Amino acid sequence: MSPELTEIVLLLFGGIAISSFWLLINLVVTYHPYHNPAVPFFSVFISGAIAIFITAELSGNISTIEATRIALTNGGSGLLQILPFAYVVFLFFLLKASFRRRPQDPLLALLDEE
Amino acid sequence: MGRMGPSFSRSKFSFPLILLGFLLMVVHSSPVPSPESIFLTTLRNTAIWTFIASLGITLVLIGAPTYYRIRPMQLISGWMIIGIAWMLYLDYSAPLTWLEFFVPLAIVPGILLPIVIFAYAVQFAERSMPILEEAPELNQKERDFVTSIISRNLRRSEAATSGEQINDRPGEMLSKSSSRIDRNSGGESNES
Repeated sequence: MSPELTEIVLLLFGGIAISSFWLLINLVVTYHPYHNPAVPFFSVFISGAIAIFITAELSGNISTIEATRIALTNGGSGLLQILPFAYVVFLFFLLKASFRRRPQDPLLALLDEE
Repeated sequence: MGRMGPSFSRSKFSFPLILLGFLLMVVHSSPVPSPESIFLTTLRNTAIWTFIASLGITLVLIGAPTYYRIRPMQLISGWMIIGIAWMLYLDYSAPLTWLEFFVPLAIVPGILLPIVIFAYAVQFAERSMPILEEAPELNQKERDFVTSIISRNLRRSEAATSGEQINDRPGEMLSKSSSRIDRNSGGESNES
């Protein structure tokens, strides 16, 4: 596999790992007696474990802890690197918000009359 | 984070907590080992322009006519700061090749996949739960209690429109109402 392709695959599985970790932490800290988290917990846990396993396979002979660190680091770095794209999308909505003219609200007009 | 829980008391801590978490990630007394050092370098490269950009975005949001009132000073200065943030990004943080620019997008399907799995798992878990039996009807005591609450609220809204003042505090309302229910238990409330 070429280094570029390896990087893309590592980023993909890094994204899966960081997203799975985020969901697992969220499930644990929002637990309450009326919650039924077993199925979501195990499905997300398995997806994260598969991502870490594949990262370990692609990175050579490394331990699970090291593969977890690499996957989470890739995920975190990737998230930061796509911020400019998110920023462009955000700026589009910000431009719309800056220049829009809201229609006059009839209820507010009634208040003014009073 | 600022919206979690009883936000009036807890939201005060959201910004200091975010700042503390960020400083703990960025400031280190000893050298950070690899692979975390790669993340730290990316974070430091991103932090400068994102901080300035978020400042500009906040100013634009304050100045934009979202609630019928435009604030031109904040709006213009916000857009200027956003422009400066872009310049900083292009000068210091932007990738050198198109490949470097687009490769990080590979993370997007990776992030979305567990969320989709999670959504289907939640749907499955919710559907597999047995449907609870229908709740029993309210007894007379409970009906009187609900009726008294509704009638009191109706009286209050009528008083508000006519300019009258009703001086009852929530705690007192509850104790008054429960004592009335105890007295009227089994019969219909006078207020209904």
